[in-house]
Amino acid sequence: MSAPGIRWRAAPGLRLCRWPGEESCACFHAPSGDLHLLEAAAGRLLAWLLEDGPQPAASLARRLEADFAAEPGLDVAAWTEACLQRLARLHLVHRLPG
Amino acid sequence: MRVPLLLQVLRGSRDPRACSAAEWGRLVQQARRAGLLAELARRLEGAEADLPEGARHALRWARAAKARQDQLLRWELQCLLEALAPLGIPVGLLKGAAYLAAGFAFARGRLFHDIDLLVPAAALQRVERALFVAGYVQVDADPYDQRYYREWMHELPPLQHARRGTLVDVHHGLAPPTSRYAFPAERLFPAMVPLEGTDLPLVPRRLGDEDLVLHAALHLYTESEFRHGLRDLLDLCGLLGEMERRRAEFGGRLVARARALGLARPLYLALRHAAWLLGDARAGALAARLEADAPWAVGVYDACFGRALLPAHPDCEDAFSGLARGLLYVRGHWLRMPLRLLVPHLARKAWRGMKAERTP
Amino acid sequence: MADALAFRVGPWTVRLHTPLPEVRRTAAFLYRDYPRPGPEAFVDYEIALLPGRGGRRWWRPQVRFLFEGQEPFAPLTRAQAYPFFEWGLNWCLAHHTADYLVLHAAVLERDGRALVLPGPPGAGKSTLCAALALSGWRLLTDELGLLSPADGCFHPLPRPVSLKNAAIDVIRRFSSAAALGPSCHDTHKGTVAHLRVPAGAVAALERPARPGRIVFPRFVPGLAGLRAGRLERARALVQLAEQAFNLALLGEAGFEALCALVDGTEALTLEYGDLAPALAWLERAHP
Repeated sequence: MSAPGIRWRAAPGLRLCRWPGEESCACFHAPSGDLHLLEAAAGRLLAWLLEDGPQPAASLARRLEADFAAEPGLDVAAWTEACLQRLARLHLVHRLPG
Repeated sequence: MRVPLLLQVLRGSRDPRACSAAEWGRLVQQARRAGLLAELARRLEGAEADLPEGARHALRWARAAKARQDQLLRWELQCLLEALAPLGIPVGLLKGAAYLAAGFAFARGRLFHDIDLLVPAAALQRVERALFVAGYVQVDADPYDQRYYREWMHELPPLQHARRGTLVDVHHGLAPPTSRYAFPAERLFPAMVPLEGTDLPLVPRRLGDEDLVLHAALHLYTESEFRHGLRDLLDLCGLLGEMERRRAEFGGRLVARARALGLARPLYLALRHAAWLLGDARAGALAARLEADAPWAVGVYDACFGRALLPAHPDCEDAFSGLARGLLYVRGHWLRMPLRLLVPHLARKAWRGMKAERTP
Repeated sequence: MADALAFRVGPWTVRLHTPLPEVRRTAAFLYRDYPRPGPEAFVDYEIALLPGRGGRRWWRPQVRFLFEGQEPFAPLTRAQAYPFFEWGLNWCLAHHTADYLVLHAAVLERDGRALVLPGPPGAGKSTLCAALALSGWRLLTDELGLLSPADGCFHPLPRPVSLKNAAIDVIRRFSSAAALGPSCHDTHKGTVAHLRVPAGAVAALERPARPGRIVFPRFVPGLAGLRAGRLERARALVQLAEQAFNLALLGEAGFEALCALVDGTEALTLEYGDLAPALAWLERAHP
C-alpha cells in the first residue's frame, strides 16, 4: 500500500480511446510507440488522471466505488493499488512524491 | 569520376529546387543511402512547394522518420539512465545521442542508429550488470567475438534491449588500447560538459568542445566501414560551426588539444576531406594549420577516402570504389591491433563470411 | 541491360530493371494496364532483380533483389524470382511512407464504401479478395491498405493478387475472367501465382474510398456454414494495429486514424469453410 502522501500521474504522451458500453479500451503511449488493450476500470483510472491531474490512490478508489457496482467482497482500494502498479510497469503512470 | 548530385547539393554548388524530376529521383536515392534524406529535408524546410510530388513525399517520410527516431532515442535514454542512476557514476553520451541531448542545431537532420555511452573503466562491470537487469543483453553470443571485444576493444560487445531491440554501445575509451591513437580516457572526464535541462533521470555529460570534434575525426578515420561516412563528415562540419560560434579562437585550442592527445593526424585528414568533398571553408582553414601533421602519402588517402566516403549508391561508384573500401577495411583493423593479432582475426572473419555465404 | 519497366502503382512510380526473361514477361503481363511514366518522371522505387553472383549464376542459380542498389534481403532461388519482386516491392512500399498508415489488409470498394479485410497470411483474405475482385467489387489492394490520416479514406494501391496453393485452382474455377500469371513452384510459401487486377480497378487508381466495414476473416477448412461475430471497437483497434507496418512512425496521428476508422465502422469476424456463402454474406453485410 502506498504512503498517503503519494500521488499518481499519467505519463506524458498518452492517448486513450474509450467507447461507452464497451468492456475494453485502447491506450497509446507515444514515446515508446506501444499500444495497450486495457479493461474498462483501468481505462477509467487513466482517464481521471489525464483529465483531472495527479491524485492519490485513495481518491481514485473512492471514485471507482461510486461508478462501478463492484463484486461483493472486492477490496476496491487494494485493487486500485494493484492496478496502478501494473500500469506503472507499462510506463503508463508514475508516482509523484508528496 | 563526376561529382555525385548529392555532393553538389550539400556543397551548395547546385540548387536542388532547380533539379528536374528525374534528377530528384537520383538525389533522393543517394541521400537515403547516405542516411542524409532528413538532412536534405531540414535544408529545404519551407521551400519545397515547387518540388516534384514524389520528392515531397520522400522528404515528408524522412521528417517523420527523424521525429520518430528522436522520440525513440529520448525514450531509450530515459530507460537507460533510469537503470544507471543508482550507480552514482558519471555517464557520458557520445556521437548522435550527445548531439541530440545537447540540442545542437545541425543534428536536427541526422538519423542515428544506436546509443553510445562512455563510462569510467572501473565501473564497467557494475554498468553491465545494471543494464542486464534492465533488459539489455548481448547481441552476439559468439565466444570469439566476446573475447575479441573484452580483450582488445575500448567498448563492451554491443548490447540490445531484449524487447525494444535498441542497440547500445558502452565505451570506456575512444580508441582501442592497442591502437596507435590510444590515450587514457581519464583525460576526457575533467573536460566533460553536463547536459542540463533534458528532464532525464540523471544529468548526462558530453565530451568537452575540442574532444567532441576530435572524437568525430578519430571515429571517421579509424573505422573499417564507411556506410555513413558522409554523414559523419557533415557532423564534423556541424560541430566546428557550433563550437566556433560559442568560442572565439576555438581553432587554436582544437589544434593544441589534438597535438596533446596525439590525434593531429586523424583531425588533419578529417578537415582536409571536409574541405575537399563538402567545400567547408572553416575546415580548410584549420587543415592548413595542421599541414605539418599530414601523412606522407596523402594522395593515397585522398584516392581511398574520396571514394569510400561517398554514398553506397551505383551513381557514386567507379571501378576503384571496391578496392578503396577493401583497403580502408584492412587499414581500420590495422590501426586497431598489432599485426600478430590482425592477421588471424581477419582470416577468421573471412572464413566465417564464406561459411555464411554457403549456408543460406 | 534490357530496358527498365516503369509503371504507376497508386500514388507512386516503380521502375524495375531486370535481365531475367521470366520476370520481364510476367511483369509485362500482370502490369499490362498500368500507366507508364516516361524516362523523365520522378521514380519513387527503383528496383532491380539480378542473377546470383559468381558460381551462383550456373550452379543452383539464385536471384537478388536490389532496392536503390542495396540488398535488403538474402538472395532466393531462381524459381522464386517473380514472387520475390512482389514481396520485396511490398516491403519497400510499406516502409517508406508517412502519408498513410499501411495496414496488412485487402481493401475492396462497392457503392462508394470500402470493405476492409485485415489479416495475417493464411487467414484466407487473398482468396476472398480475388473472388470479390472478380465479382464486381473494385480492388483497392490485396495486401497493403493505405489509410490516410488526412481524409480517413483508403487510397488505392492495386497490385497483382498473390494466390497460394489450392487457392490458385479455386480462383481459376471461380471465374473464366481470371487472368493468372505463371505458377511458381517451390517457393517458401508453396506454389504461388498472381491474378492480374481487372482493368477497371487499375483505371480508378486515384479514387479513394470511405471505410464501410471491417471484417476479420478466418478460413476454417471443413466448416459447414459461417460463424460471424461482432468485435468490440477497442479490440478491433488493437488487432488492426497489429497489422500495421508503420504505426510507430506515424505515432499519434496513426493512432488517431485507427480510432476514427473503428469509430465510424462496424468490425466483424467471419469464419468460413466455403467461398460461395462467405461471398454472399459479405454482399449482404455491406453497408
